[in-house]
Amino acid sequence: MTNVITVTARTQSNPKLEPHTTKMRVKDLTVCYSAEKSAIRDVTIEVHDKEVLALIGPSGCGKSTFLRSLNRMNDTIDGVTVTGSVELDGEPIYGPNVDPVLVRRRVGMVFQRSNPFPKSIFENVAYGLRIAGEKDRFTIMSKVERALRQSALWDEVKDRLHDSGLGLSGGQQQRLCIARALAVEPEVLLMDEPASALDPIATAKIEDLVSKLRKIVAIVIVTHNMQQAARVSQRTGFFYMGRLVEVGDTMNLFMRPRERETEDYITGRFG
Amino acid sequence: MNIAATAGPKAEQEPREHGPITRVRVLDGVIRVALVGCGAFVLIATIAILLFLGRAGVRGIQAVGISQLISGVLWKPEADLFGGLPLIVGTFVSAIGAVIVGAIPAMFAAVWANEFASKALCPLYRRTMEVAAAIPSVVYGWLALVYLVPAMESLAHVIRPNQTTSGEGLAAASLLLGIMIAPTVLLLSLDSLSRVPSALRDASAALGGSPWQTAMRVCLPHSWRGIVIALFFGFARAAGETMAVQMVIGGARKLPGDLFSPTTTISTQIVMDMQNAMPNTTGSNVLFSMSLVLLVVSVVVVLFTRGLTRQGRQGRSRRPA
Repeated sequence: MTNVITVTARTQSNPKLEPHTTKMRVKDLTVCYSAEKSAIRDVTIEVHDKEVLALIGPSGCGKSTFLRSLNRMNDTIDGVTVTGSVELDGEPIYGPNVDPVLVRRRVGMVFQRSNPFPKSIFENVAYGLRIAGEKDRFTIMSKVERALRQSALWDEVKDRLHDSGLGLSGGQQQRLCIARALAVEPEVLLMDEPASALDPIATAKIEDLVSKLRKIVAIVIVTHNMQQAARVSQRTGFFYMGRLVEVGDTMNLFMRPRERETEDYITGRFG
Repeated sequence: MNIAATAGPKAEQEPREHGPITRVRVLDGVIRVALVGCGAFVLIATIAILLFLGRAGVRGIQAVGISQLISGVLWKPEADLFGGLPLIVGTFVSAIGAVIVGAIPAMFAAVWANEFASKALCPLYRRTMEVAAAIPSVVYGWLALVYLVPAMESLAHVIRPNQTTSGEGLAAASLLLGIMIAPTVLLLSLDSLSRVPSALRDASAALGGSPWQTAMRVCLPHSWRGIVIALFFGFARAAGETMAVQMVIGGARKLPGDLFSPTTTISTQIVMDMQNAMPNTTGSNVLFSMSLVLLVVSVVVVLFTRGLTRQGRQGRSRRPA
């Protein structure tokens, strides 16, 4: 616990790092699925703007639970209790009168397995705009095109926008899901192992995309793959058994981990 | 454990006895013959029913004429008048009414139960509906006769105070049939909705979809085939229902003036007339002709739902793994 806070404090005061604005601030977050057992415990971390934050750790360490608590997706599961605070631009997202639906319009999410709707490519991307009440056809069309360009899918699908999204390859489907999330212009994009079900070439495209997208949206990416974390992220957090063991500059964390558990994990001694 | 330990070494010491590989299995043959017999029995019974129904029905149509049977308004078998329009109108109006007041609300109730009810409440709701679907129709009919018909009578007095009424008629029949088909429609719709992958609900929620938007824009479109099938099954059941309708429709062999005047339906009229219809007379054959109408409705529903199911399966198989 004390370590976490000192690490956070250290990275903030590190003059070598680029100046940043804090997008989300998580303090003492504990999430329990049942009364007895907590999935994550006392997690304190910040999400910076224009930055990719990678979360690594062995299976079941709580990194996905943590990710899903950043846009209140855990609310859809019965019996979840959340304590601590999560702030988005200084506003508590678990505060009174907060509508999780509105939180999720600002904090988007891409899932491990691509899950396009059984609709056309165009309608998949337009979905978020339509449910947010956008009626103007021209606005929808231009935003769909922009989102598809941002997710590097436009050239591949521009001639078949009205074909089913389910007819795309696995990698294309995942980029379609990214486009769908980007279309509503979120401020933070959460990605839960977005490439773990893809082949190496499709994975490389997703990684390339993640590196580029940080200029327009803050990204938190959960990954099993430590090389992936090293390639795409500026900061990395290591989760172990429901705790955030340490978080810091990605190169520092991999080259000079400060905690014994982190070192054991990244050198492959467990996990 | 002990047996295995002692048997092990023993088996190694003695030469193994090999079992024979030939034998005559009498029982297999008997079972096979019995099963083929059962299958043939059901098939032959069905074909026989279709043949008898078709033959007598066609004779009825030939004797009366198809136009008289479908568009004639007087149904008086005692005077050899077989105008089937009141029966057909009664059947279809009461069944469509049942879909409107019972099946469509049941569809939305399924959306509520699957998308909005808590994890503990939904199974409870489902069990209750399973019980409701299993209640015999005569019970529904009796309850309707005692409670629904007087209520309809009061309602009719309010709506059209100058006319006398017993409360029997299409309004009572539609409401009763609606209540009767609602549990089945709800259960079928619920099955269809519960097959919507949770990944799609997550996707919609993560894009800022409210539960209501997710239900209407993702879950209903994904399961529309199953729900349409449920609505059609509800319609077919309402059109074929006899006993309960008999108790509230009034049994008047004429076109209804409005929803509160007594009329009749195909199935109830068959019950009414069957005592007086001597076999192989026109009166008897015409009842078969009317039965054919009901059969055609059922066949159309079955073919339609089969088509939808197959279409849905093909749609799914196009999805890459």
